[in-house]
Amino acid sequence: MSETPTPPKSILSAELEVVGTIKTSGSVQIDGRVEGEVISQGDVILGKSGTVKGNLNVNSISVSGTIQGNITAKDRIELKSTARLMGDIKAKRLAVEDGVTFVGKSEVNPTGQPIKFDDVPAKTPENAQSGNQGGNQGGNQGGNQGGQQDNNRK
Amino acid sequence: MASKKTKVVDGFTAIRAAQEAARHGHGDPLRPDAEKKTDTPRSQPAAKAGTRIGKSVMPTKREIICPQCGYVSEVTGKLQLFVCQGCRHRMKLDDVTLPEGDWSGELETGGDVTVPAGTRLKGGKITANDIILHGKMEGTELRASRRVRVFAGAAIDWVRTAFRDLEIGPGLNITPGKPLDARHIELHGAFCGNLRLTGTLTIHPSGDFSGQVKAAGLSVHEGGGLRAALDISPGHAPPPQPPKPKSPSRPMRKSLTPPPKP
Repeated sequence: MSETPTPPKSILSAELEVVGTIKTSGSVQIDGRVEGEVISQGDVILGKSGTVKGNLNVNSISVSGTIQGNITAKDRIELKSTARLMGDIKAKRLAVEDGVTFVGKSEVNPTGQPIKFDDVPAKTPENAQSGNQGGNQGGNQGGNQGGQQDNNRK
Repeated sequence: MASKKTKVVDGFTAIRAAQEAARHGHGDPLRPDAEKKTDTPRSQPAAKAGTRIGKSVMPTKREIICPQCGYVSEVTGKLQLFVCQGCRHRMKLDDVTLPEGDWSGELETGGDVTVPAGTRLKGGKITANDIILHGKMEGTELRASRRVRVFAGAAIDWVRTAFRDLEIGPGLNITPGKPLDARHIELHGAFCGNLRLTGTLTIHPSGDFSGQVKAAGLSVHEGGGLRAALDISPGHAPPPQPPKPKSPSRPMRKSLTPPPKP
């Protein structure tokens, strides 16, 4: 979404219910109920009372309501604290506030480059012995069940 | 305005002095636009004084979690000795920085333990409220009652480490290998693995998470990466603990003097 938000061009008010596909070249604010796909080349704002049951294909979106479907954004997805999302998201940038309910998959990689994680060193007799001892220790105070970093890749 | 015992002027004292000045008709020095009021006797309440005591600035609270029973306490100010309200376990609240080089031993404190970059933890056990790790773990057991903070250059043994909260510093790439259970996790670096949290996963702008997560809350700052299967719902938070029942009051002592005869 642009840094200085421009007012939305289309508004679906709270008492409106749309069954079908919404396609717009501009921006739209949804406060009502939509059962179908939403395709927008601009920005979409889903208000607190807004509900969308279908997929969204947008430039950027700010969600405060409920979505049952997948979101694909060319630029940015913003999930406000009252957002409820059941579906997958794919975008270049993502901002999520605390309080969101989100069940699904996320594919957001701002840098676009794969991240290299530390390679696991070769298993030495000392590491193998300590790893076996660690495995028999059982649950820790915080419930941490992590395996030893060196030995679990193989 | 300074109290007689100390020479510290605090906000509370200043507000009371301003109210006193307003009561004596000198106007409110903190609100010069307010009208001056006539001198009112002390017996009458000065409820109409211009300045009111609102919310005072309180010192920041510190969360101390008992390593024995897990009881969570909040303390303010500087304490040297802490007694847990749950199990009466006593411990010092000193912050300790380990010396560089090889270290082995037993250390317990209610404060923070910092392991510098040049330190290698060879054996023994460290129990602390927060553990800040810059060095390498090579056999020591770490038990953080609250949080472990790991920074770039550190080597952590996940099997020998216990914590409630975890913070991954910038520039660090972590792959634990097995699912981690925790309360809150903050990522300034990269993390690849599975998480089961009763609190919130926070991804800062320099952070990146890939894997699976089941948590009560999620917070992603713009710039953070997230390539994961998520199950985020406030229902995953643990139910609030019921308040501790008050111990029954002691029965009143019977009077030692005999009742008067009719």
